[in-house]
Amino acid sequence: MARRKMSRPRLGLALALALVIPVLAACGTTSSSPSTAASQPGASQAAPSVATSAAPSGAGAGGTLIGAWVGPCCNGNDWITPLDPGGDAHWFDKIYGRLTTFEVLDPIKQAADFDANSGVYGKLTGDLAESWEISADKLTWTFKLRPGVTWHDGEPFTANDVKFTIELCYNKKNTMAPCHYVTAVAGAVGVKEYQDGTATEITGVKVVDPNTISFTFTAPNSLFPTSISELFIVPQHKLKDIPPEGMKAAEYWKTSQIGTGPFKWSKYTAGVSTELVAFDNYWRGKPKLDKIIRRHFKDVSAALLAFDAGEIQLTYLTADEVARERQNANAVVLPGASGVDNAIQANPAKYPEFAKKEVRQALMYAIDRQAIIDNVYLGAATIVPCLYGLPNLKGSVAPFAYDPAKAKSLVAAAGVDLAKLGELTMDTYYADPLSLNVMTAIAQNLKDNLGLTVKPLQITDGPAWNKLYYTDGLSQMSFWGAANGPTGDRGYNYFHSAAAWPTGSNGWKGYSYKNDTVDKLLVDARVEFDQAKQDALYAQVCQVTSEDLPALYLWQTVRFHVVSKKVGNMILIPAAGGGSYYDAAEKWTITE
Amino acid sequence: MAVKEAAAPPAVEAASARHASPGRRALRRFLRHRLAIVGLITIAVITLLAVIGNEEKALALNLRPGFPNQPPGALPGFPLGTDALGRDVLARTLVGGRVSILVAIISVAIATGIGTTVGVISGYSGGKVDSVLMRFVDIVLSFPTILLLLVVAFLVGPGLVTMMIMIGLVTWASGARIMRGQVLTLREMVFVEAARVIGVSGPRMIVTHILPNIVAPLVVFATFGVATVIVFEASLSYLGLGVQPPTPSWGNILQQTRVVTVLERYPWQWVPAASFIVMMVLAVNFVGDGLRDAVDQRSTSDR
Amino acid sequence: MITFIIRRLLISIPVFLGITVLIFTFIALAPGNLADALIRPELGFDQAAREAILKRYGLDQPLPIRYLLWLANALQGELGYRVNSGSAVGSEVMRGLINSIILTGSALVLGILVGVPLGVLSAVRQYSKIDFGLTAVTFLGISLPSFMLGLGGLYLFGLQLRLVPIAGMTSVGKPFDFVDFLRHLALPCLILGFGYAAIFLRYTRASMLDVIHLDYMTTARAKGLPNKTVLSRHAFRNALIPVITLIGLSIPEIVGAAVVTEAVFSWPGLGLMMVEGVNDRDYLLIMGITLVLATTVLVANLMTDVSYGFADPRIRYN
Repeated sequence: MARRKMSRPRLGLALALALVIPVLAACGTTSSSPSTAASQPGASQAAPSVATSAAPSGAGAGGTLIGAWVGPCCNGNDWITPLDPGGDAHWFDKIYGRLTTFEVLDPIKQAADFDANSGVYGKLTGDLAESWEISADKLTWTFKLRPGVTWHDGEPFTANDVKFTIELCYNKKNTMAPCHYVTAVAGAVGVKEYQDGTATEITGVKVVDPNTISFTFTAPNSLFPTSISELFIVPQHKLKDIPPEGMKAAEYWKTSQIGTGPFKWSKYTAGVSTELVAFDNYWRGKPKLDKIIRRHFKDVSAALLAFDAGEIQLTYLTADEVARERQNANAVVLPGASGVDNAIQANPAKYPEFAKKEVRQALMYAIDRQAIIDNVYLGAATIVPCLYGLPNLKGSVAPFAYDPAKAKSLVAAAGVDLAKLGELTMDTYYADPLSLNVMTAIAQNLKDNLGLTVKPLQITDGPAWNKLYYTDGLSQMSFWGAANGPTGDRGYNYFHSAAAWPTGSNGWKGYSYKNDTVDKLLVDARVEFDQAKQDALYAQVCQVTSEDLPALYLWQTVRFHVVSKKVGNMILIPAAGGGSYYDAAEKWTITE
Repeated sequence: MAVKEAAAPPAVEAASARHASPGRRALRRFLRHRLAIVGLITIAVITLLAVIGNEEKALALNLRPGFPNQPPGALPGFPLGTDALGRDVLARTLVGGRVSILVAIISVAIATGIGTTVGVISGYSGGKVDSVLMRFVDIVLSFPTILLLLVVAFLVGPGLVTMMIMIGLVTWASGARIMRGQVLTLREMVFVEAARVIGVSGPRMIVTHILPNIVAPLVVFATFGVATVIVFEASLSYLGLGVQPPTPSWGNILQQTRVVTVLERYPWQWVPAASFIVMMVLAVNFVGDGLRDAVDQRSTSDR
Repeated sequence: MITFIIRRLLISIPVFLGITVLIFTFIALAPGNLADALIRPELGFDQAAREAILKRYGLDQPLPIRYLLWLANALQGELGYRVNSGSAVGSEVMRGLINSIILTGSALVLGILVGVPLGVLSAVRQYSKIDFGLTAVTFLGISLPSFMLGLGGLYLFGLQLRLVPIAGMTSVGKPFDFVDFLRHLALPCLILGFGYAAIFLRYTRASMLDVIHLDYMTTARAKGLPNKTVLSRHAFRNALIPVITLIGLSIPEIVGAAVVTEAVFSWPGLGLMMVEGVNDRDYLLIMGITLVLATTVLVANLMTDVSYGFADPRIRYN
């Protein structure tokens, strides 16, 4: 046959689709981190000097770092903006700053004894903000900004930029996908009026003076300093003249992005690369590297080969490639908590059997999670007892053990015969072979222990999956990922009845989860300013949801990057979506 | 003719080559083509192996330490080693042949059948019929395949049958163009003119004179088809179409090579499937060569 | 001949329009839409934002109106903007087309230049070792999936042998260097070209074999003509027909057939762009690429039909 449409099919198909790695679901937009200091005023931090897991080089200044920011961490297409970074927040760290960020405790711990749930995140620390405090009535947060910070073009950074960024984010006419920091400022005074169009500004966000900005909320919001760490601040003076409807298409994003970060935008070549050069006046100090280049790869394996050949010095690694790279004498493997839990969801609207709590619990008992983690993930995952994995959030909730006998008895007691359901399709939007193997293993467990026949189905086309799962509510069983941090408030969007689909991510067409106890706990946690008490509330959420099982949370995966030994001082905690942490980019060095 | 036929004994042994029917002559020519015989045997053997492959072992996981990714001989009972989930590579490779062979043969048959029919009718009829059919072919060729597959799969649902039909639908158009080109040349040839003069009707003309003479490109078309469809089928399962892993197929076994560790370190997991594909494709090709030589009446030598 | 061409071009116009209507409709049939691709529901399904997006991209209108709006704009050269990056569809498609032409086009030329002569050789030396050898090698090229050949090739020639750079069109961080560009092009072009060579070789061989044993060949040889003349003057021209058909069918492949190779080698061509477009349900982009594809198919098939007349003057289309 003429090869047209046969081999090398225009069908790069799913193949190419899989290679393109669409940004999907909660491929995590945030990382997990202990919500420490969330309710305490942050103190100004000098940039901490932290040891890194990459071998320090003897190098001084200069050099170019070329990296491939690819994989589930990242967007898959080479065009992105800081207002919707998705998985590429870690890249935008180089160009932009945030009000707050997290310190990293000890990245050297990453390399050995790694436990995804122990977290290497330290305290919440100031980035563009020096300090912050809560008012007596607990309704207003006042942030003092760092003086002397300038944009890449020399203009001074002020509170006006912060207000502008937030209003840009909440502007409904801005067709960039809505900033996911929606939850951060959603409760501020005046947001509704601004979004309705009856007001031209968000009155609750006030510029007190060029270095001070205050946020007034309708109800106490203890998590604000943490959640605002996800927002990159963009310059008012460059963007104010671009109409919001045209924001996404603006040439500015491709030619001259201006930020406050250590590196500034130099050149963008569509489909090929993005180049950054050092910003000499960076407030933490002039960066050691001359240049950082992001090389665009469509295929993660090709990026890995380029890394092995020395053409690039940084790339993403899937769990099944880790063992090989650990033997590479020129490389260092950097593991990190992904901030993403994998979970299974059965559709109770379609199969009333799964509406019974006992049946859902039986499913949990029937899956041998540790065997899957050991043999399929090769250790690169940690069991979670509920949505939360961090020690302070999960309290003393114990995860379900692997107990096939208990599973069988629970199902029998509920009077259900799962074999009668016929063959169920377990869909997923994950495109990689590893996830398929995981689902196969899960299906095997369910078959052996409960007689339930499940067939995995990879639907790599994002909109098709969205339609199946959310819009039509026709999924039978689903395997997906959910961001589990940086604070326990993440659970609000999954469990609270006010977040029922289509308003939020709780459920889909024809179904949503409702539990009054959980509702109250989540709301109480938002207004609890005492860290220990707040943690206890989330631990209770963990307890209740681990019995009630709105979804079957299985484990939190570990994600990996690999870095050349030529690179020094790099902090890289591969949390999917990048999260927000201080990565000392201005200290990175490279020996040529 | 009537006299001659009455005179010629029906039994093959009794007649000399010159008196045997074209079909018998073709068969004899085919059987003399040694490579074609080898090809036929190879296809038969591979198909037989696929049928007797142990389906249970192909699907049984062994998620215990010491079982995944073992090379051949490391574990008793796993002659070709194991894959990432501890499954028997030999069983998977053999059973994988079932889907691949079935899909390849049926889709290629569909595509070749439709393509040849359209191409021959178009080329032989000429004029308006040709114009209309070829414009239809133009439309099909302009269609972005990936969009077509996505929509059809969504509307009709995934499955082996859907996939085979879709592959056939997506590929027949180029076959039509190729056959038509060949027919255009044939139509003007002297022997066709002669036949027309004697009064041979259209359909009979097509069957006895045209078809045997387009065997050459038809065979190449079908041969390539087998190769590319097997590989194509692997990509399809990624869109959620057709055969989904964990059910094995040669194509989706080869998907594993996207992981560099597998490509470099676990060759036993994919080399057998790759070899089977190559052998199958070569075999089909040789059979095709034999077919063409056997059927080609223009060859003066009785090879 | 001229009337033939003009008539064909006239017919092509409704065919072209028909293609656009068909594909426009098909995009609408695909599950989910643009808003599903743009807004990730797990972050909070915002109905109002969804509606705003649908409205902005005209998706709140009925299908025929949308098509007519698109057509009206397209006729004025306004092809719209890509959904994910906001870049103009026209310039994006142009960029992708150039990259695809460079890659697939050079592979096609390579395939023809290598495949056709070797096909002739194979036919002339039928059943010799050369014939078998070439057969075996070419089938190796098409039996293995492109991503395997691509990654395997990168692994062997890029990583182990360090003969070629890995992935992309150029090296980054340095000014453009033509030799460097050629080195990046070498491997993907060879791999794709390998496949094309295989197919051209087999078709040429098959049709050469067809004519080589024809009676009039024997006559020509009996007349005393040297074999070479027999071959080139008589055999080759007639064997050309399938080859011409094949070339005509392969030219449109430049517009996006090499998706997997483009993906593995990070070569930003139209194949990848189409996949991105479908993934985003970006109907403006898909239509833009379709315009190029349909044009290429129609023109290529027209040229093929015209060429038949030159290769075999007996062919008429009545």
